[in-house]
Amino acid sequence: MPIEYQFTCTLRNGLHARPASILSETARAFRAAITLRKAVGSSTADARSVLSLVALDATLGDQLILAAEGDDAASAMKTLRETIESRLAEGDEVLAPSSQPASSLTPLPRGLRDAKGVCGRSACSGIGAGIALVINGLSLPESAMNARPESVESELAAAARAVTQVRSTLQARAGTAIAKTEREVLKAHAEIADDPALVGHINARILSGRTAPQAIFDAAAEFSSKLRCAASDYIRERVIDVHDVCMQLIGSLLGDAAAGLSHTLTHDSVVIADSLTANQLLGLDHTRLKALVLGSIGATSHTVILARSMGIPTVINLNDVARLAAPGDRVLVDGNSGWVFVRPDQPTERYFERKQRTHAELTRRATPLAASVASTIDGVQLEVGANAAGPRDAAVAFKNGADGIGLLRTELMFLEREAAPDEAEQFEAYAEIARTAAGKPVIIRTFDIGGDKPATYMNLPKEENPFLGVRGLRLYAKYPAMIRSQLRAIVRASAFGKLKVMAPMVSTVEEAIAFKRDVRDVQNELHNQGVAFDASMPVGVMVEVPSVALIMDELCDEVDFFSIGSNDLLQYSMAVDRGNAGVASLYSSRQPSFIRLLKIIVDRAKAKGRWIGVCGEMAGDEINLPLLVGLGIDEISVAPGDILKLKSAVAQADAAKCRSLFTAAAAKRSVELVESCLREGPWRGETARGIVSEDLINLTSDACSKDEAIRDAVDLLTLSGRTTRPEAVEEAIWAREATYSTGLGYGCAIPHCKTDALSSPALVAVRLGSPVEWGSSDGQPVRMVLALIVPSSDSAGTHMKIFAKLARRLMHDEFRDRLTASGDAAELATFLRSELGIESLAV
Amino acid sequence: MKIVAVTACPTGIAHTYMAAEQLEKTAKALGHEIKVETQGSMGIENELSAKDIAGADVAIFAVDIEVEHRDRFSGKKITQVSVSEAIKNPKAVFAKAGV
Repeated sequence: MPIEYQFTCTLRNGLHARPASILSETARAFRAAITLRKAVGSSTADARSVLSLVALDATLGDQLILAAEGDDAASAMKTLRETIESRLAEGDEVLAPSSQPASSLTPLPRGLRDAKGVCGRSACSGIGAGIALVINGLSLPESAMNARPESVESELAAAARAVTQVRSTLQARAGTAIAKTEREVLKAHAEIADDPALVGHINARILSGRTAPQAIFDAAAEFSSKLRCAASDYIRERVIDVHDVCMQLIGSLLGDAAAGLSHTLTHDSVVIADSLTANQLLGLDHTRLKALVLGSIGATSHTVILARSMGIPTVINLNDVARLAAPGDRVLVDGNSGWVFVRPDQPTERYFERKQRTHAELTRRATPLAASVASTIDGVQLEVGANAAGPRDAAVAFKNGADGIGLLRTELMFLEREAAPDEAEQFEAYAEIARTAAGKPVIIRTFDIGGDKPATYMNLPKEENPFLGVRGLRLYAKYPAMIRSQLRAIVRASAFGKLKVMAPMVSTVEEAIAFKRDVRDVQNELHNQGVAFDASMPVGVMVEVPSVALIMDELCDEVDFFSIGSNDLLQYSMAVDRGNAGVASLYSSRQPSFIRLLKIIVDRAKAKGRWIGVCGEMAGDEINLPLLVGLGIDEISVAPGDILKLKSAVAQADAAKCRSLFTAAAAKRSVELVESCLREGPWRGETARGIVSEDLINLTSDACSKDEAIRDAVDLLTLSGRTTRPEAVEEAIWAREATYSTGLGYGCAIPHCKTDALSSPALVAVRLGSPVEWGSSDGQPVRMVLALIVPSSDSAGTHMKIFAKLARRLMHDEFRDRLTASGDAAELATFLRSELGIESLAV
Repeated sequence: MKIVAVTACPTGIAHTYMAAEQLEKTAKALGHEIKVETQGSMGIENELSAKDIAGADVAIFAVDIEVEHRDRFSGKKITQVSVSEAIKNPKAVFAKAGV
């Protein structure tokens, strides 16, 4: 009698290739016959076969029955049950949905209204251009299609050899792949190559008189049609995985070139294919692959996942792609909007050139922020550090411009393994980070295990309430060897950089004293052993237990610095488990009580001159920045990807305004009121927002049409950080232009509009190298564009005065000559400010 | 000679002021005294009083829209031109008004 186990499918994307491969991998370890079937319906899958599991088409909510029969059925069932309960979801990582439904057509931006393009669905953003390379899908060369089998035995042997070879190649590549996605895709493919159901089909075809390549081709077609009928999109998209593996099998039999599998990119290229397998994508030269245009492929296919992880602009879901372009045609792909242009005309090329130029300039301008600590406009510095788990994260963080590592979560090194890392392993990791930091500070938090983060080898007793139990520093007394080896590793690594050490979950003064003593003991020991270390390494504690707020004075006497762990501090102060939907709404770092608590903590630390940072999620959310600046925090530690964004926000902030805003916000009585207070501000500095400024002047525009001139004007708004929606500004200018040309004559035009895509008025000056037609009243082309863009909220007044003044000044030759002749943006800005009386206006 | 003028264009953002400036600049060059009222985006500015109008030798309207409070000028001889005429050829406008 088989042993059975019934369970509900909880995978959001159904039982697709990745979870199926986890299941089959587990099943293959046993001798028992293991099957999976739906409680309703007749098809049964072999649990050792990924394809057969996938073809079962199990979707979210399905009742499934796992059955095992054989001598080790009982232990197989126990292991499989654990796998299903704990590990299956790992393979079901939700993929970011594309923001755009497949059917919608993105309107072409204004600058491309005359361009002829086709629109698909954007799958990976970015712009790419190159020579078309058209790749066909699953196919057999004609000679192979017409071949006759040598003998059943030799064809069977050939197929078996191909399977072994492809599988081991895939496994080897999975072993050396660096990116996690790539590794997982290759692993799933290796499983498919060895799939009993696939192999069974291939052999059956050979027995009925087909050659090995023909049998593989037929089997691929059959599995594809089975998978294509699946209810889940996700599973339908696995068709391409089967194609991928089968093409490799065929390639191994016929040779890649003969099978039409190898493609060499000799120029910057755009690959066009109805479907492209992940393996084909991996085989292309990434330095020359500039974009992908694909047909019947899903946004969640492995190919698209890989393209995204490689950052290749990709457009999918185009019909009849094979006929889109001839090999060698130039193709331009806008992965942001989903538009593809074959043999683009001059204006289209120019449009994208300018777009990329602006993008490059934006990145260039943000880069200096990475190099140094950001200051508010009134000169208050705020370090923006990064949270990291190991050397790899840390390296990314520093590359992104981190001022330090504000929180190194060392416990991640301790979890999911058989034993704690030894001193040597930890020393290597900490020393590597210290060296990467190159003099920037690194805060190493000693292991914070317990509660939600168990380590099996520690055999921690199960606690009724782990968040209030033996966790963090409270564990150290029970594991003296573990904390001692970690502290030795940290102290030794301190010789290689500016390290700081910090203890988690401190709630009393005695704990802080004991921790400090542990650090000193280790330092003394190492000193006696003649080992070098930084004797002045600061020792600090996390502030995550509310009791700490009331003993800050005493703690300041004991430790050198603090870091507020806002997640735990909030959860403990509000008595809220944020994972509990019933109370999650209380979990907000904008709770008036919480920001008042922060105030007590920070004020007391500052009163005794102690350094204090914030390392929880609160720090990464830009909306909280004015609160943290207002509090007078020294540092925020955030995810590596958020560093530049927060540095730019710091650079725009006015600390004095933030302090007033904090006082106002802290006096509110609800989260809602605090949030509206933060939204209304003001907390940004105004000096950088003058209506006339050097960074709003371009004296060397190469625009060759009215359209391009307007775009150049709007680009200055983007580059100076005044708008994040340039298309909206452009549309508003053109809407105004449609009623009456703004060409005033004398070679000048004054396009203008009101828009909500801007927060302060701006006068933009663009001088063109060669004049363009504007429809001016005097019929003359325009060389000088003075665009006035005003926020919708502006109650027309000041800016109208400026315009009236400008219109009057334009009637004077000397004024116009100065506009035409000025060779320097700064000088022209000063001139415009005085001529238009901007200093005397309250703008 | 004493001249009063009104400038007004449909959008009132630029041409109203360009015409006003042009008339003022030209009158000055020709040695005349002029006061120009603008009816533009900021409403009526440099408004002509009954005394200004009564004391003027000629009145010029450089407008593409209806002049506000036109009744102030009843009985006065008015020379009306388009805004662009005033901008392009202010001297011809003055000539037309008999200045």
